[in-house]
Amino acid sequence: MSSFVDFKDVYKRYNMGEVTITAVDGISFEIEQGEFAVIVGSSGAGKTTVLNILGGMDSCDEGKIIVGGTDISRLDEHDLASYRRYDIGFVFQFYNLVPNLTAKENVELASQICKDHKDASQTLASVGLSDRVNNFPSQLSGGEQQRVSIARALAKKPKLLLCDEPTGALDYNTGKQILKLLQDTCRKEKMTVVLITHNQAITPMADRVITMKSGKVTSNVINETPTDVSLIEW
Amino acid sequence: MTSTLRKNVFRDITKTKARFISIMLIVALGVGFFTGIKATAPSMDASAEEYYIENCLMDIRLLSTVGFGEKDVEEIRALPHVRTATASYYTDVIINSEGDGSVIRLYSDIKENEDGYTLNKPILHEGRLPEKKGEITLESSTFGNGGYALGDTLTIQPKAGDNEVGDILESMEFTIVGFAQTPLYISFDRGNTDIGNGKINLYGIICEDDFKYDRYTQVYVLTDYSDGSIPTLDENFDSLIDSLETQFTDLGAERAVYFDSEYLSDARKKLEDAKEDFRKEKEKAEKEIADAEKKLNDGEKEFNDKISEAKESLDNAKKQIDDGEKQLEQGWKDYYKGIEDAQTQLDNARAQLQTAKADLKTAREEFNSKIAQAQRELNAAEREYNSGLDEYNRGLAEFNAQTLPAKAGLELLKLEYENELNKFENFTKPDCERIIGECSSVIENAQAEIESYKSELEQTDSVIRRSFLRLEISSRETLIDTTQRTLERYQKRLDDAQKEVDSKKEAYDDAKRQYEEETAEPKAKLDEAKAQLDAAKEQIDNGKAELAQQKAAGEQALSDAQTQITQAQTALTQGQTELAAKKNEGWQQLKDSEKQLSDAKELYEEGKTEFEKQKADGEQKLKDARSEFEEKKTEAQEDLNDAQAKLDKAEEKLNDMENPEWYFFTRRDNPGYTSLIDDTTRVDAVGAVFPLFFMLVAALVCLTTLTRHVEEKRTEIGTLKALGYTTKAIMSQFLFYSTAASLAGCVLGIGFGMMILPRVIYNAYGIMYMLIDLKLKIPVLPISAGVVTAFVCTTLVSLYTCMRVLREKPSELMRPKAPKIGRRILLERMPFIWNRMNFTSKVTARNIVRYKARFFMTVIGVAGCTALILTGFGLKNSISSIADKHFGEIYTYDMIAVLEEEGTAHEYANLLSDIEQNDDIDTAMLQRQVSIGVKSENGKEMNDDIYMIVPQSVERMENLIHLRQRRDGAKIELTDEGAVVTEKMADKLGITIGSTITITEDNKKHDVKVTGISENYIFGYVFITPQCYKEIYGRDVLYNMMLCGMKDANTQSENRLGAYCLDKDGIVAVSFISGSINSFLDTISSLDLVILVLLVCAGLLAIVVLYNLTNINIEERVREIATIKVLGFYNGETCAFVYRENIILTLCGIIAGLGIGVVLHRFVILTIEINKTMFSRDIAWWSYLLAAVLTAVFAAVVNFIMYFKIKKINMVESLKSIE
Repeated sequence: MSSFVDFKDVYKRYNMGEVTITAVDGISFEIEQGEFAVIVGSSGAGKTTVLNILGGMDSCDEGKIIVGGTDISRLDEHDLASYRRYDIGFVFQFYNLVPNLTAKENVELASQICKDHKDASQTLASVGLSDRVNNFPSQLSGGEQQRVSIARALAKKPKLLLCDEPTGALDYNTGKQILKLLQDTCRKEKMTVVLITHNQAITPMADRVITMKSGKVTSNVINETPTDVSLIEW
Repeated sequence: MTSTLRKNVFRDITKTKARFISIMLIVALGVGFFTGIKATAPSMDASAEEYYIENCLMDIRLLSTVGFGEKDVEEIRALPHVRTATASYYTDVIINSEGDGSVIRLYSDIKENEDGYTLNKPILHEGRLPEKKGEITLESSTFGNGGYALGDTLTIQPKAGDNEVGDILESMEFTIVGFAQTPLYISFDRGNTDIGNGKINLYGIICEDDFKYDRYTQVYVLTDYSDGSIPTLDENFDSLIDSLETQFTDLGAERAVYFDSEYLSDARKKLEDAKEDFRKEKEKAEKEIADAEKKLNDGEKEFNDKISEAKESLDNAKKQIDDGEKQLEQGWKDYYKGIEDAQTQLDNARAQLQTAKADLKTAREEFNSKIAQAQRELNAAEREYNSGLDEYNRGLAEFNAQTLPAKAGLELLKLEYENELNKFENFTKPDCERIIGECSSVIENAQAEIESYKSELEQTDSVIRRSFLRLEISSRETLIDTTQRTLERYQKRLDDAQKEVDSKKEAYDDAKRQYEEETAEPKAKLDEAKAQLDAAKEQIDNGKAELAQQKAAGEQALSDAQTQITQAQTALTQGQTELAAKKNEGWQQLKDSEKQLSDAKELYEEGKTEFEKQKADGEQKLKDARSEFEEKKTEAQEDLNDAQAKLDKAEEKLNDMENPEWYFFTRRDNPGYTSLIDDTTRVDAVGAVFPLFFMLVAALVCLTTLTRHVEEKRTEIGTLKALGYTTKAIMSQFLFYSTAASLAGCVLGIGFGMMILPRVIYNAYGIMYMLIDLKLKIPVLPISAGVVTAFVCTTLVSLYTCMRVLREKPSELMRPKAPKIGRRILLERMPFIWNRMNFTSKVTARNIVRYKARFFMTVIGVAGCTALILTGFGLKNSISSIADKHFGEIYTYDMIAVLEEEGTAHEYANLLSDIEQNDDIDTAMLQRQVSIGVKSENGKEMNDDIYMIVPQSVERMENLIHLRQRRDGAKIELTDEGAVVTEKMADKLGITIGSTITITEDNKKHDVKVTGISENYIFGYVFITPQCYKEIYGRDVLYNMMLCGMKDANTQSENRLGAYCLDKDGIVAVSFISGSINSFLDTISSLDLVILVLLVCAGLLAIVVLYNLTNINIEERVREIATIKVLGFYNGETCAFVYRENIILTLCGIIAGLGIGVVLHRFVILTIEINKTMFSRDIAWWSYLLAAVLTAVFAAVVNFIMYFKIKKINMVESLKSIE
C-alpha cells in the first residue's frame, strides 16, 4: 500500500519573460496517513509552491501527485475545485476570513458546500471560541482569527489539512497555541496535517520533517519521538 | 517628478490600462456628448446665418396693391436703416404638365443692383441663370428625381386663376437652362397661393423681360441689421426688423398720394371719355337694330297666317285618321282583351285541372298509404292471432298431455261400466226379464187357473170336482210358489246385476267428476283463450272484409276522379282549339281595317309633306332673315359688350388701385424660416439636459475609480513618503495619472463629439431642410464647461484623496488599511428573513450596505442609463403621438378653405351647399377663425399663435373637431355658456374651468367665462359657439373659413377638390391637413436618429459605469474571491457570489432609472416644447420595458466580460500578505 501523499518527480516552472524559474525542481516525497508533516525551508525554497500544488490551487508541469490514491496532477479545473472542496482544509497565514461574515458564518461558508461536515458552532467550540461565535473577524484578535480559520478548515472534515505559515502573523504565545491546536487535531482526529514554515524550531513537534532548498528536497526525516508543542521554545 | 517617479506613473498606467481607459472613456463620453450636442445648434445657426449673409437674404419683402414704381424704390432705398433695396417681379402660374395643377412661382432674375448687392442670390447647382426671354432656371430640388432635365420645356397654362397669363408673361413656354436654389426657401415648403390647388409646388427664375407688368410687384429690402453684426436668428433681430414696419407703411401711405395724382387721375379722365363715346355708339347701334327687327316681325306674321289656314284643313284630315286609328286601336285592344280573357279562362281551367290532377295524385297516394297502413295493421293483427293460436294449441297440447293418465283411467272405468252395462242390458237383463216374464206369465197363468179353479170351485160343488179343483189349485199354488221363487231369484239376480252396473257407473261418475274438477280450471282458461282467439279471428276477418270493401270503394272513387279529369282535359283541349280559331278570325278582320286605315294615312301624309315642304321653305326664308338679323345684332352686341368689359375692367383696375396699400413681410414670413429656428432651439434644449446628466454620471464614476486608485496605492505612498519624497512629488504622479486620463478623454470626446454629433443631427434635419454646408462652430463655453467638469471630477478628486491619504503618517500608510468593519445590518434583526438567506445572499446584503458609495454610484450610473433610454423612447412617444392625436383624433377635417370676405352663414349658405355636394366632401362647416390675444384673471397674457374658433354650429363641428379631455378622453361639450380653451394655453396662463379670460381681437377686449379645457397639441384655441359670440360681441358671427372633411383624402382627391374649391367664387385659398401631417412626420423621423445617438451613448455609459464599478468591486475583493475559490467554490458559484450584488444594484438602478426617466422625460418635454405646440406627456409601456430590458442587457454584457476576469483570479493571491 502506497503512502497517503506521494510526490513523484514533480516539476514546476514559471516563465518570467526571458527567464524561466524552476520553483519546484523534481521533488519526490511521501507522507503517511495521520502524520503531522512539516515542510521547512527558507524563503524561495519552493515550499509554498509545493503546498499550492498539493492543495489543488496550482498545477505542476511534470510529475505525479497522488493523494489518497487519486492522481491530482491529472485533474481538470472543475475536479480540482471538487478536490479542494471535499478533501482539503486550508489554513492561511493571514487567515483570509470573509470580513462580512461572523466567525460562525465564516465556518459555515466552508461547511455549507460539503455534504459531510461538522456543526459550525461545535467546531468553533472545539478550537476554544464558543463565546466568539457571532463576532466579526475585525472584532477578533489574530490568534482568534486563525482559530476561526482552522475551524473553517476542520469543519469540512478534510482528508488533508494544509497550513501555510499559520503562525507567521502571530506572536510567540498565540503561535504556540495554534500549533498545539493543530498537533492535537492531528492526534485526536488522525488527520494528516502538512504545515509549511521557515521556522526550523518547530520541526521537533512533527512526525515527519521535509526540508527543502532551492526547489529540491534535501531531507525527509521521520521523527520517531515528536515533542509536545508546549515543550518547544524558539 | 523624478525620472523614477515618471517611470512609475507610466508603468502604473500600462498596468491599470483598463482603469485608465475607462476613466478616459467616461470623460470622453460625457464631454463629447455635451460639447457635441452643444455645438450642434450654434453650428446649425451659424451655417444658416452665414448662408443668409452670403446670399443676401432679404430682411423685408414689400408688396403693394398697385406694385411699385422706380420712384418708390428710390424712396425706399433712402429710408434709414435700409442698406439696399431691389425691386423685382413675381407671379404664380400653373404648369401644363400632367394636369395636376402644379403651381410654380416665377421670380424675375435679380441682378446686382446699384449698391452692389444681389439680394436672395440664387445658388446655381447646374447650368446657368436665364439670359433671355423664354428661359428658366428651376429650383434644384426638381432636378433628377424632380423629373426635369436641362433643356426640357416647361409649358404654362393660359389661365392662372382669374388672370390671363398672356397679360402677365411674354412667353408661355420656357426652356430649362439651369437648376438653382434660393435662400428664400430653407425648407421644402413653398408657401401658399390663391390659384390651382392653393399650394406652391416649385419655383423658377426667369428674365425680367418676360414679365409684362409695368410696375414692380415686390421690393426686397436689406437692412443694416443683417450685415452680420448681430445674430439674425433670434428675437432681438426680429423685433428690430418689426420696428421698421411703420416707416415702410408710412412711406406706402405717402407714396399712395403720389400714385393717385401721378397715375390715377390721368387714367380716370381717359376712362370717363371712353365711357361717353361708348354710350353714344351704343345708342346708335341699338336704334338700327330695333328697325330691322320690326321689318322682320311683319313678314313673319303674314307667313304665319297663311300657314295656319293650310294647317287647319290638314288637321281635319288628320283628325279623321286619328279617329279611325283610335277605333282600330280599340278593336285591337278588344281583340287582345278577348283573347287574353279566353286564354285566362283556359289557363284557369288548366290550372284547376292541374290542381285536380295534383289532388288526385295526393288522394291516390294518401289512399294507397291508408290501405297499406290498414293492411299492415291487419297483418300485424293476424300475426298476433296466429301467435295466440299457436300459444293456445301449445297450451291445449300441454293440457292434454297432463290430463292423459287421468283421462285414460277414466276411459277404463267408462269401458268397464259400459261393458257391465252392456252385459247387463244385453244379457243379464233380457235373460232375467225373460225368465221373470216367463215366470210371471206362469204365475199369472197359474193364478188365472187358480181363479178359474176357484170360481169353478165356488160354482161347482162337486166334491170331486172340488177336490180336484182343490188339488189343482194347490198344485197351481205350488207352481206359483216355485215359479215365484225362481222369479224372485232372477229378480234378485237382475237387481244384483243392476247394482253392479250402478256401482260401476258410480265409480265412473266419481272418477269423471274428479277428473272434471281437476281439469275444470285449465280447461276454462284454455276455453277462454280460445274464445278470445276466436273473437280476434273474427275481428281480423271482419277487418279484412272491411278493408277489401274500402279498397274497392276508394279505387272506385279514384277512378271516377280520373275519369272526370280526363273529361276536363278533353274539354280544355277543345277550348284551346276553338280559341285559336277565333283568334285567327279576329286578327284577320283587324288586319283588314288596318290596311284601310294605312291607305288613308298615306294619302294624308302626302298632303302633309306637301304642306311641310311649303312651310319649311317659308320658314327657312324667315329664318335666314332672322339669323342674318341676329348675327348682325349679336355682332353689334358683342362689340358693345367688349367695349363695356374693357371699360369695366379698366374701371375695376382703377378702383383697385385706389387707396393703395403697402404690405410688410419679414424673413419670418418665408416658409420654413421659423421652423428651422424652432428646431435648432429644440436641439439646444435637448443638448442642455442630456449631457449634463451624462456628465454627472461620468463625474461619479471618475470619483469612485480614482478614489479607489489612490487607496490602492496607500503602501506605495507610504513607502515613497518614508523614502523622503515630498508631498508634492508624490501627489504629482497621481495628478498626472488622473489629468492624463481626463485630458485624453476630453480630447477624444471633444474631437469625436464635434465631428460626429452635429453632423448626424444636422443630417437628420436635412430631411426637412435644404442642405447647406454645415459650418462647425466651436462652442467655447460648453467646451470649457466640459473640460472644467472633467478636470474637477478627475484631477481635483485625486488631489483631494491624495491629500487625505498623505495626511497620515508613513508608518500607518505602510500598514494595510484596516478593512471596513463588517457590521450587522437591519435585515439581521428580522431573523425570519435573515435565517432563510444563504451565505452569498448574506454577504451580498452586508456588502451592499457596507460599501454605500459604490452602491450609490452603481445605482446612479445604471439609473442614468435607464433614464436616458426611457427619455429617448419617451420623447419619440410624446412627439410622434401628437400628430396622430392632433390631426388624427382631435382635428379630423382634411381641408381648410379661406373665404374671400367675412360673411354670415346666410350669405354663405349657397357656397356651403355647393361644396357639400362635391363628391369628395363628407362634411363641411363654416367657421370664424381669428388671431386673438388672451389674458387670464391673474394678468398673464399670450398673444402669439392663439386663435378664436367660432364654429357654424356645435353639431357640425362634432364631425370635424373633437373636443375632449386629455387625461380621460371624456368629450367636452361646447355650450352657449362660455368658451372652451386649449390645455397648453390654460396651463401657461393659469386658466381653470370657471375662470374668466379676456379676449383681445383688433384691440377690442371682451370677457368670456371658461367652461372647459380641451386636449390640443399645436397652437392655442378658444372655442366659442355662435350664440355665445353674439352675446359677447353683440353681433352675428361673420365667417371667414370653411372646414371640410373628405370622404377619402389622397393626393388625387385633394388636388381635385382644391382645384374645385378655388374655382368657386368666394374661396381664395385652400390648404390640406395632410401637408401639415407630412411635415410633422418629417420632424419625427429626424428625431429617430437623435434617439439612436442617445441610445448608443446611454448604452456606452451603462457599460462603462458597470464595468468600472464591477472592476473595482472585484479588485477590492480579490482576496475574498481567491479564498472562496480555495475553499472549493466552483467558478459559477464564485461568479454568483460577485454578481448577485451587481444584479441587485442593477435592478435598483433600473427601478430608480425608470422613476428618474419619467421626471427627466417630463422635464425635457417641457423644455423643448415651444409655445405653439404641446407634446404628449405619455410614455408608452413598451418604452419602460425597453429601457429596463436594454439596461439589463448592458449589465449582462458587463457581467459576461467580468466572468473571464473572475475566472482568471489566481488562488495564490489568497496566500499573499495583505498590502
